[in-house]
Amino acid sequence: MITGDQKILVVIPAYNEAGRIGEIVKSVKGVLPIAKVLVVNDCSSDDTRCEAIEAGATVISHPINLGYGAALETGYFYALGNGFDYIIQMDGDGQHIADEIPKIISPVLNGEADIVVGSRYLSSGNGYKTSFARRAGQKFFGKIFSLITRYKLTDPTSGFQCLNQKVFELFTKGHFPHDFPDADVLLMAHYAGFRVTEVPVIMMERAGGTSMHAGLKPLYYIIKMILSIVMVVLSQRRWKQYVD
Amino acid sequence: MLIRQYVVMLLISLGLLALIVRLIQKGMLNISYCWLWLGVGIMAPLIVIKYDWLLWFSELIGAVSPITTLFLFSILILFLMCLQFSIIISMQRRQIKRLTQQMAIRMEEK
Repeated sequence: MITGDQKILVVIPAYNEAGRIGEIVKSVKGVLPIAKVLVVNDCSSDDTRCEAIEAGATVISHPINLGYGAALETGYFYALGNGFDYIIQMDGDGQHIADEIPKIISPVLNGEADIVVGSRYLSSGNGYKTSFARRAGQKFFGKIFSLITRYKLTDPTSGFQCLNQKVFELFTKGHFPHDFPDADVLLMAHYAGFRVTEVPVIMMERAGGTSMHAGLKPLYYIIKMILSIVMVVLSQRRWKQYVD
Repeated sequence: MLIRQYVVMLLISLGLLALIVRLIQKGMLNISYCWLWLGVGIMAPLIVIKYDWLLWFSELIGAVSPITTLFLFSILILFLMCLQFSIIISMQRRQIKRLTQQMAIRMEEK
């Protein structure tokens, strides 16, 4: 249950999301008025920063483009430095709906999970469409995660997540990927002893902008993610030590 | 080895060593990253002076000729240097990222 005592930060990494980011910030503030909304502007060349400020968000602007993962990490540093208890992270492209926030925050607030991932594939009334190749990649990495952890993960690429403080503290230890933090970081959290769970959420198609999986990036993503998962598995003792 | 070859190789290798030392002195080559270069700079004149060491080592590793040994180790050293540069670049990338993030957070706090 959400009370006024909890310090909740909504982190929205954004790169050239003008025309969308203002609406997203307003909708988050409408659904979760007690939360602070932080937009991490990853060196956008458009009006992302101004739009987000006008909508009432706190904006941190990277002077150079660091990548999606690094923008999230900046949010974690900010949350840690300002004593936030929980982080909700959502994309700035309009895929994630603010009305779904209560679904992903409840298991963390109730202490049932440390990380909650919003899955577009668990929800029956979801009109979300994705390409065959992308869905195959998601299933592949979800399967790897499930094989290792014995937890079912249907949407490892979902950026719509809620984390408690211990989790984002782990993610600021210097091993958070700067580009694609997906199944590898969830695996890292699993090895550190955190409970990862999924809840069904409704997601929309991208409202605009350029996907970070555009062009030849999916190929890089697959190779990099396999390597990253192997490294996380090989270093599992290190993640356990962080919690101990 | 012919005397002319000996002199030329000795001059080249001593010139290389002098260049490396000078670069370190002037601060153009950081002492933390110069170990491989310094190793090469010391080994080069040493191989010229003690050529029989190279012959002995070639026989030890089963190389057909001393030239093969030199090429093998040149490639190995270049490989190690590339690896060292990759490590340094990775480290600096992480540091730049952290610096940028902290700077962005501080700028927002102002």
